[in-house]
Amino acid sequence: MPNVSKSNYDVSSIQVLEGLEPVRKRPAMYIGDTGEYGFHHLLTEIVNNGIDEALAGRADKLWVFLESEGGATVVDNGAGIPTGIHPKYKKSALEIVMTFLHAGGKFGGNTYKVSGGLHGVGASVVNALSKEMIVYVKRDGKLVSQTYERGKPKTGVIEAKESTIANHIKEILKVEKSGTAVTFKPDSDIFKEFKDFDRPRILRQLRNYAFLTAGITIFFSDLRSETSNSSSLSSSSLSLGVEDLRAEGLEPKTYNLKPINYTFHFEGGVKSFVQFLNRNHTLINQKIFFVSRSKDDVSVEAALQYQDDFEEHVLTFANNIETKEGGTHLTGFKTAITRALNDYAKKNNLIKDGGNPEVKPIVEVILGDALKSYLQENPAEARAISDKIILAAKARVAAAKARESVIRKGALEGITLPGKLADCQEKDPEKSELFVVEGDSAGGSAKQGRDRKTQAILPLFGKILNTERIHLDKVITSEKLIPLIVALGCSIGDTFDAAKLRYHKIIFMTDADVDGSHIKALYTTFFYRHLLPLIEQGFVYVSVPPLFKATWGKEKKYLFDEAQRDQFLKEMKNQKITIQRFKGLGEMNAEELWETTMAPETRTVKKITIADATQADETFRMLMGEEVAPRKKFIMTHAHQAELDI
Amino acid sequence: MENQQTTEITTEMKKSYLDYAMSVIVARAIPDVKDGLKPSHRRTLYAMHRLGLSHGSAFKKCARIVGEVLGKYHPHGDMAAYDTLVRLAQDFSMRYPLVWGQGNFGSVDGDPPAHMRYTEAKLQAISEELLADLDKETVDFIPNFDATEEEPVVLPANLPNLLLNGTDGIAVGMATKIPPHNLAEVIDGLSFIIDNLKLTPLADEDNPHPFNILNLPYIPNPPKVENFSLNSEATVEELMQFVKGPDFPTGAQIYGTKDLLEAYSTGRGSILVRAKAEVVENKNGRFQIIVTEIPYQQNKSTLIAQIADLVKDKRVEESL
Repeated sequence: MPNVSKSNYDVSSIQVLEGLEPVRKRPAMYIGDTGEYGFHHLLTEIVNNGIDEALAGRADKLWVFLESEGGATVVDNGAGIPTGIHPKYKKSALEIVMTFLHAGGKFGGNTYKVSGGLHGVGASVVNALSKEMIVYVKRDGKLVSQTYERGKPKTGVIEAKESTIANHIKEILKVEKSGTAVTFKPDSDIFKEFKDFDRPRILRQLRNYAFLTAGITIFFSDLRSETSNSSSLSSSSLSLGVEDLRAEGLEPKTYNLKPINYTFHFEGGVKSFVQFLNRNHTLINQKIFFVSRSKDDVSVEAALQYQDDFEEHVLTFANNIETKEGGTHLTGFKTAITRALNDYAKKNNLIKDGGNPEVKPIVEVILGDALKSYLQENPAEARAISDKIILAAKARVAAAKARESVIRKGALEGITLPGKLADCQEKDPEKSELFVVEGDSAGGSAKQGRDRKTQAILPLFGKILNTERIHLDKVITSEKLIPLIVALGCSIGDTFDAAKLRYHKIIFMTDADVDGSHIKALYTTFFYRHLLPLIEQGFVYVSVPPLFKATWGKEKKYLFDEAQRDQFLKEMKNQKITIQRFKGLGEMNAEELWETTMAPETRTVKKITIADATQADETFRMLMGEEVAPRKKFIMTHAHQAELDI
Repeated sequence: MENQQTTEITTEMKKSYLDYAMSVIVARAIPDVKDGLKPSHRRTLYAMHRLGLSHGSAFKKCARIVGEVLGKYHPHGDMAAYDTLVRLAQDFSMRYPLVWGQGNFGSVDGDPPAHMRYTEAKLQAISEELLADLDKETVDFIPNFDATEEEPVVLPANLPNLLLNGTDGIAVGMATKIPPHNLAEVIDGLSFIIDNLKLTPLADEDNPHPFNILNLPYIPNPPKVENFSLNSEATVEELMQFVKGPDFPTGAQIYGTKDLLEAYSTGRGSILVRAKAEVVENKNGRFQIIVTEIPYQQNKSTLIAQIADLVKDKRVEESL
């Protein structure tokens, strides 16, 4: 009989979570995770509030500072958060906004929507997860502030003393008639791994905001010393850099103050955005089609340019938030384009009549009309676009035919699971894991070492195709990829169905050597280009095998990183220890592989996430695409960061 | 509990790709300029050296050499290691073969070599010039893959092997292709470079007004070596008086010296190589084209098949 202690379970043990407690208990529920993404999300939330002020027409400037002592400050010149006492809660509205979860949505209804424009959970969640937060509000000529610690008010809403305000904030609030300034320092108790803002990542985001919010000027200033800046691979000057932006002359004003300052302001709005996105491509129509009009309370802004790629790149935004799933605005856009271009091509005898069966009955009037007049006014552009479309259509039809013939022949349908797959007994995808293993070395060890209840092993021999530039018909005829696609169960292309996925954890387990890295890159490319939803839904992982093997006498131990190795060497000072850079998974016995890399209790796995779709797309094109020059430039720029396997 | 972290897709891709690319560049496909060898070649020669396979010794089975290479220095596939060894012995692949092969080492027709259990090999005399003085602390050594052996980072290389045997390597984002050259010509060129060396003293704190030490009969306190820059004033055109062009193991003729100048000046260029052939009239009055040398790295049987196809397709007329 289990030993139950009565005193443990009584009224006092029942906790009622109120205020911001739940946020600190389960931060991931509110901000995604407590890693790199979540850390930056704090800033996003506060910036969004400022952007909302701009969208409501109350602000035209936004300042973002990365503070020298950690944390960040966001200032807008909007109306300022109301500071009066709320009749029901008997507290300052500012305090309620900052310390109550769902404040914006829950109370006051319209009052707050109009005056604050806050996203509700946003500011208070950031407050809860910050070691310290100070909010300054300038309204009606008065400057007040409130300080919080881990979400709890440390002071009341008091008049701000000039001497206590940091200079850069003071200067702005002195000049602007009204506004809000929020300074926060992420709590290192919550964010244990991630402690520093990544400048390029923030710049990319601010740049997108500036593109999408016509009329706003965003000032950015990094006050940290150069050494504290993260110089990770993501801060590459190659990845959609602000440097490129400046070279294109797209950045009108750059204040060259120290240490690092950027200013974003784009008169062209989404038009500038399209120009920027296409800067590395051969353009079909030089003059960008652009429309910005309102009808029945809906304002539409769209820009369109054809380039040499055969894939479509559509970025859609509703109220400035990227809408990856599309929506009615995308449907309307596509329909309008199809109709206007078809009409033009038919009228000018470029394609035969008979129509395109894809045309949907919905008509986006604004786009349709604007595009029609654009095409009529720019015959050269229109002709180039039409030619391009006809070519693309031919390629599409050819690929579709090839694909159909393969599918009809039953390349994928009705195939039994591949013989190489050592499947797990579990049928519930949520509990099942698939290890995709680099065949030669580790397949055998993995099969013997696994937990056969939940872990399936698929050894793939050798290197798979580079799927960056190939069409689906090639993919589904590839001997190496078919077993993987069949094992996943969710099919691919038009027949893709995430609900049929057989494993909710797909783990790449590759050797820690050169070819392992290459194979990992090839798998990632395949999933990104052909099974993207699986990455987006967080089903794709990479395993983290040990990096070093220490041997002394007859003993050995696997160590996962440099820090662990150094620590171990310190502990075992008296022993003669040989440390080897660990090469292949095949070097380990089945039990060792289980303990270090596969056992759910002891292993480390990394979930692949996508922070910025545009950047991801550019990265894959650069690394895996056709053009060699950008790749060479990347390798030469970052050569010193490589971990060599010699 | 499982330790679950996240990794951003672009960071993950860039890291994986960079590690792969740099490793392939540094340690696989591109040779070291000092000895002209890729790691697989260097390890093969070093392993043979350690096995005592000098040119005066008896041959040993290739299987044994491959085993030595794989087990001690080069943790890769056995067939790849054998292919490396075989190529070093082929007189139609190497201008100066570094390995002396006994048995079937393949042919210019593309025939495969015999299996490594049949063939035997030892070092060529020229390889010993590359390996000479290896034990006299001439080069750095590093631990092998399991830290049980040591291997040289480069070979001492008394010969400019990169120019002599050339190289061909495709890495990631970059590639190299250097044709082979004639030993005597390269040596003459080097002599010319040395004769035209100029030692320029650099100004420094101790010696603010540098003088040319070569003019002085005796120097009481010779300045340090690092205070001089050593440059040759030989130009590409001058050097081409000695090194007239590539020297392929299979002979044949190069067309267009202008392209050569371009290639030697810039490191980039293409050269056109044509087979050597003559038209001979035989006894019954018919003419034959006798081909005596074909371009480097051409497979002879494929070439013949292509000629036959041209005749079949009537693109070349069969003349009487």
